[in-house]
Amino acid sequence: MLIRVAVEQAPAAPRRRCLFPVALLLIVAAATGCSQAPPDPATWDGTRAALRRAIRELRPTDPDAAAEVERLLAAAEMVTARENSVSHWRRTTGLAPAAWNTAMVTASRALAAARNERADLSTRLADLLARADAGIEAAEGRIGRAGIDGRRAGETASARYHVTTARKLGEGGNHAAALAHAEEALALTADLDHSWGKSIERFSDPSLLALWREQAAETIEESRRTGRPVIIVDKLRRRLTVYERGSERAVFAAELGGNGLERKLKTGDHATPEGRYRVTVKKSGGATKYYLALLIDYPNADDLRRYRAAEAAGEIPRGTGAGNLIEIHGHGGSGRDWTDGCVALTNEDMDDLFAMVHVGTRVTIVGTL
Amino acid sequence: MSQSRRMTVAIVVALAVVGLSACGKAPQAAIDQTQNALEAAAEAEAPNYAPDAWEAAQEATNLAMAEVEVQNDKFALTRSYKDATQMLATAQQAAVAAEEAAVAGKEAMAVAVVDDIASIEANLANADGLLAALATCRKRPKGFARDLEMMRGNVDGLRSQLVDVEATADAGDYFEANAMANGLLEGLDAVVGDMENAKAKLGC
Repeated sequence: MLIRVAVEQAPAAPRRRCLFPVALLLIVAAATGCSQAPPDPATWDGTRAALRRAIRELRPTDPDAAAEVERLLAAAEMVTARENSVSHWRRTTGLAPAAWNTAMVTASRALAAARNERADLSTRLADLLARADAGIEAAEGRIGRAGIDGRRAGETASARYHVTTARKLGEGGNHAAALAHAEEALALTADLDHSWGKSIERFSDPSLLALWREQAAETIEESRRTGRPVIIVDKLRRRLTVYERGSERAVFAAELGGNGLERKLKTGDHATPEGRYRVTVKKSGGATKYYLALLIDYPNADDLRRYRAAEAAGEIPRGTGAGNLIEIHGHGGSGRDWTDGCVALTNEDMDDLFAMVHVGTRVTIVGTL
Repeated sequence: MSQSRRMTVAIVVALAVVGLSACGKAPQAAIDQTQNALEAAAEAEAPNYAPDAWEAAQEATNLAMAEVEVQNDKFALTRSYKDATQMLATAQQAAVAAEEAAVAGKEAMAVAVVDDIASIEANLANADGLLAALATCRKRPKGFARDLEMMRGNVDGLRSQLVDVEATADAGDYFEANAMANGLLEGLDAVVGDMENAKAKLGC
């Protein structure tokens, strides 16, 4: 009996020895099957390149966000390298994709925020530049006009420079500096506007307006009464109007003195006088170097009173003189205020005017009406 | 096996373990050197003045540090930092190259700004010469004095901006200084052009 049992049990030992490696192989195979093979490192090339582009784009405007994306990129590289190097059963499926995804999501959010901010800044810059351009255009249109001196011309050139610089900086992506230059340009144009406004401030003074309107009305009335032509010069509008028998007969564009919006007080001030005058001499041929000229009787009694008062008050040096030789003459048409205080018309207009008037014609020069 | 033989085997095994452990230490010195080189490149404004070189250095450092991490993760006896050390050395070289490129880039930009400022000064001197020539011109058409005043105003207005360009360059902001200098040169070119035209027209 004992012998039989022994005989029956003897073949079982080698079978068990065979089963052990088979089982081990099955376990290893199962473990291997549970974990996917690591992705090819090149899998992440596209993501890596996208992150690099994002970092480059973020760096100038949001360096902190760029640094954060760089840190996440480094972390993703680390996780990927680790996952590629460890044994299959130590690998965590999805760890590397998750790291790259975190980096991409962070980069996308930061880029969206940066692009929104950039769009806002671009819009603001465009708005400022449009306003500055309009201000400069207005200021440039006034250059050469009475009330604008060389310093103001320089400020206009400076404003133009700031606009050019702002555009260059904006194109280069430096919106903060671009905005600073655009704001500087705008401040300069605002200052130019303010100074222009001040130079024409007195033209809205009610008492002066009343005086000028009264003088003009009297002049027109004189033409109606006498049937003769009279001349009214509106300095602010740069307009010379001829009335005859109380009615408007002709209107001409006029140019003034370099400082023509001021009321003439003294010699050399380039201001154009204001008041009631008469034509004293009609000049033509060699008598004038300005084609044709109508000399008026500036300074009149009122002008001399103002001059003496200013001299007595020490506002002007004694002996300066009130000036003279104020004319309506030709050689105008440049669109600038350029004379020494005279009123200039184009030669063609001067031909017409010269034919209409005579010595003694009333000339009333007012600020505006 | 005799007792002395067993002792010898134990000592050899112990030495092997110690030896292998020594080989498995992270190359901290190389890591520090690489990080320092990268910081130096950042301080030299490599991201602005040498963006390509800076990116290459960052990428090389990332890969080297990933390799260090891979080895850190391994069992001590199987660690080898040989590749990591080599990669760190490459990253360090890239960082040094980025720093050098940044210094060179910044220097080139500084030189460009200095050249621009010299051009502005030359243009201003030319403008002054033209103003002087126009002022002494025999032919003086109507309103010439006023035109001259405006021209002088333009030149003076633009001259007053040069101080800001120089201050911006002195502050090391060469990108902005360059844009400012170019803006100023454009303005001066226009003003000088006008004066040259006037001078030619008047024949003075």
